[in-house]
Amino acid sequence: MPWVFRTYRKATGRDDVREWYAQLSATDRAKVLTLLQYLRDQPRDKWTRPDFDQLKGKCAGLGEIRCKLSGVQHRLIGCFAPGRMNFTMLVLVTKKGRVFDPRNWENIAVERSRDVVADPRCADAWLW
Amino acid sequence: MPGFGETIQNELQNREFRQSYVTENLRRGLAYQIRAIREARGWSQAELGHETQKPQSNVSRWEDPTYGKFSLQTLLEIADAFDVALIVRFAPFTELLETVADLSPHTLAVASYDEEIEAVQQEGLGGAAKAILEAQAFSFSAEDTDRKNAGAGYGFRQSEERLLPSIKEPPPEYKPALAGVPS
Repeated sequence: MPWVFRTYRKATGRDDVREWYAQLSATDRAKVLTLLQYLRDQPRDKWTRPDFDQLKGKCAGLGEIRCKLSGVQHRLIGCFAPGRMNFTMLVLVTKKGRVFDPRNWENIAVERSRDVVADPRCADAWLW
Repeated sequence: MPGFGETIQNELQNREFRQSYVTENLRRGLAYQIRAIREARGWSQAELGHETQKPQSNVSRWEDPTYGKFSLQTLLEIADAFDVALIVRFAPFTELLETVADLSPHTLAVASYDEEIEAVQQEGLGGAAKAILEAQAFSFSAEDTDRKNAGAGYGFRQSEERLLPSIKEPPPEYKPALAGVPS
């Protein structure tokens, strides 16, 4: 059974991840879509590096889909919710050296993951 | 909202996307398939390295979805180690979309030649295995026949003759193509 990818939609209706995706170059969109397409059909135990990593510490329980676009490391931070075979992308983080953007990505991710559990309607189905 | 299929079909209208999508699927597809076949055999990366006579670090690189710098020779060596066929050819985008419809490890991991033969023996002739053996039985060109006559031969002929006594005669649609080929 394939995974369903969802994106977090704010109460205002804005969706950071899809807005980010829409402004990517065609080459980078192809990279992201192909990566998600392969992950879609992998069982959870095959979601491993370099495409995916489980987070620790403050974000324990969350995971990151990893890709390098135009020379910059990108991380799609997400949670395995709502329900089985769903992965909701909560926030897009870029990493240049040791600098993460946004800097408070951990707080954003944790807060949004709680929102998804409390109200699954904020996890909008994107790709399946 | 559109799912994967509709999203990709819309994106494919963009030529830059199309070409990158081909590249990404080739890179990622090879990496995922090598890993899927290796794991289906129960081999470690070191064991695949042993089979290909390459260090484990090479196998790790082959299984990196961002690597994508395979030579045809390397792919042939990996195919030989797995004892599977290798097909490299140009194809329409519709075919690519069919190929990526299911990318699960079960689909990516293909059987070795011996596993296919064993399946035929256990389950009888059917499906893909039957098609393979039929193709082996009937698709020899005049060159193949010349090689056979010259004594080169192919290892599978014995098993073919043992397994396929009832389909030795080509079906009618094959006969025109075989006209003039010495038996």
